[in-house]
Amino acid sequence: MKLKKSCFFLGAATLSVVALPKANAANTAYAPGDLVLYFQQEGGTNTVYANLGSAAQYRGTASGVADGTNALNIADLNSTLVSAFGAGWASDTTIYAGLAGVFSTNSTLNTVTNGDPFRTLYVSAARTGLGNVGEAGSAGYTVNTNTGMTTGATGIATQNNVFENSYEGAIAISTTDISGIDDQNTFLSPGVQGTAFGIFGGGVMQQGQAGDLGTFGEEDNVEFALDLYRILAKTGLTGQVEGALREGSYEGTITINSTGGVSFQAVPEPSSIAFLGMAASAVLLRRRRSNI
Amino acid sequence: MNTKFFAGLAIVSTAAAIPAYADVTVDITGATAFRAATLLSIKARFDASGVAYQYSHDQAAGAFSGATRAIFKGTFPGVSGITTIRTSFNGSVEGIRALVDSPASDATYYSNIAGNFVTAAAIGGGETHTNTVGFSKTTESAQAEIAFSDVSKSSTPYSGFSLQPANAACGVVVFTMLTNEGSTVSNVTSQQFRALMASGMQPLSLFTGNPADETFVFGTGRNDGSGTRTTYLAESGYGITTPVKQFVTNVSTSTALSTIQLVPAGGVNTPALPGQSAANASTVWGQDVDGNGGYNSGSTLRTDMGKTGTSVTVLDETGTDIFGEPVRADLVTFLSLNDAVTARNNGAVFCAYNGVKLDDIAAGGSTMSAADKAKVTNGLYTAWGYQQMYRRNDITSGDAVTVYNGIRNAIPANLGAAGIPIADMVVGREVDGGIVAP
Repeated sequence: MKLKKSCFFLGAATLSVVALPKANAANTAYAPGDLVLYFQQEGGTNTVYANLGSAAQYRGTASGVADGTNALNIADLNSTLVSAFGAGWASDTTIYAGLAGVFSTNSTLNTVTNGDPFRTLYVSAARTGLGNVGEAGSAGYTVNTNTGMTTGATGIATQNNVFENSYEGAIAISTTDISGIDDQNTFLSPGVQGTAFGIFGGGVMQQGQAGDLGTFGEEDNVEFALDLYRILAKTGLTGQVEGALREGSYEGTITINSTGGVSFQAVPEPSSIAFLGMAASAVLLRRRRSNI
Repeated sequence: MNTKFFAGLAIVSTAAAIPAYADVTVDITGATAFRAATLLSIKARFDASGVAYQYSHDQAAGAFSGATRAIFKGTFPGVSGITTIRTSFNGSVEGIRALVDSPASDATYYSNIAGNFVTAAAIGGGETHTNTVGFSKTTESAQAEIAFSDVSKSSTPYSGFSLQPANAACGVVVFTMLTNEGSTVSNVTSQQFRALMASGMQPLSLFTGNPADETFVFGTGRNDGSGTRTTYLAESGYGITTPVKQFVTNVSTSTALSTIQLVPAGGVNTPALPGQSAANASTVWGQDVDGNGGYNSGSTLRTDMGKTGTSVTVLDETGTDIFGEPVRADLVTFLSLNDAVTARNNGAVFCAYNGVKLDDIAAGGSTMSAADKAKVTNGLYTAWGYQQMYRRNDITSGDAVTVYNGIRNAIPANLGAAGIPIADMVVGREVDGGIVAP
């Protein structure tokens, strides 16, 4: 089983530093193609950007199959979320979390970066129940048109460009007059998400719960559980990690627990599933014996 | 009584004795736009089994494709045992609600949702129907497995609920702008329609460019439980949840409008005026305000669009006569092609939308010509949306999925005038009212 700390993800130490607004020069802690975990509060004035590193690393060496690498405690966002939304953020049902990343909006070049053609979208979908690790807990996405891929890529880039151009550091609290998060993730009416990034009807975010969602794999007290999907705008390019055209492939799940800890749990390899099954049996057996 | 529950108990209690095949019941609800295509597809699948089956419906003999309530019972290809499929179409938004709402947690579930399906008592051998001895209208409550909708669930208050599959689109539903008999409005742009929805009435000159046209055009349409309304508010760019101002007919003859009124909050004044209905109120988005209601029935709207408006008393939401005397009133609305053809046959007139008209079907016939269809499939004409065919989120495998797939795959061959197969579309869109492009 591959289970390790975030050695190739941006370090937690880096993520514990909240970025400062700046006037010029690109954010050195962000690069196009990075996966951004973001938060907003419906009706609030603050949003939060948190860079989780290159989106492609969450995909693994193939798309949507059991080759991802788990990474626990990628980041500790508690102090940031407290600053942005108050000490009760974990039980605040007006707070929403989502994921989005794209390398380029270019629709003409056949360039491949980290296995991804331009306009490859990485976006979240809320899990409707925690369910099982390695299984999608959401219906996923299909983008109907090539133009839709460009629209989606532009929307994600527009959101994340604010993070790149207006802040320095891996985490930023961004007010809604500056942030692109609230612009790209709208609401139809209170509590009902509108279209995200111009193409995802119903949005891509998960709404906070009054209580936690429970335990998901290695993570307890999960407050948000976001399935990560990769959507390809092109196929058949040299060097790309293949997948179905414009259909989201489930790559794993990002969780945020009640103390702000961010973790990624990939689709486990078959041997890992067997191991997890044995481990679960062992835990149950131990609990049963302790009750005797 | 939920017979599915008891059927489940029966299966459990006899599982040890019977080697086989659990019978399955699949209930279908939602929008009516693909009603005929759905019923024809169900029948086609039972036909394909090559085994005799029975069906019963609430229409006249041979007219089952127009049924609201129908029941089929027999062998469905790919499903062991007996498959029963029942329909009870109740509208787009209510259909989605029927799948996401929980009977266990909502005490008013069955009273809110017309998810009442005829029982097997309706089955009488072969085809039975309204006028057949043996047909029964005895109904029972059940939560549907499948629902059709003219709009995506993301355009409804149930956006946050999950349904299957990720891509539920099973066809394209085409709409048209329509004006009532005798109107001189021939084209409606998105701008004009937004202006009409914002204020409820606009000078006729706005639509004709002729300053001598000093009478008024009145906006009319459905309440917010309607997929058609959701489509026209999205397509025109007005906004799905932005309150509108619409008029409905209070009094009319079979050929002429007599009184129209801006829909009052709640749909009814106190005391009620003739022809008012509480069902016309818009309650889905919590915006039951003056003007925001509309027809709760598409068939009533299309009937009224076939009437002239040469001398009409126009009331505001309080019931006060706005002009103090009867005036000429032109109505503009937006209907699915099926409904528009029915209205046209009664005198209503197809309008161009943003300068593009479905010329052939506007003149006659009930199906689009190749030229009309090409305007849609290539993106010149944008008044269309995807028909969604959803499954409940908990239905991810098994016989219900087999039934779902069987019907969905049969729909393109049974669409008729209802729509266009997705495979024929050169362009697409991502959300209701979204950009139309390849």
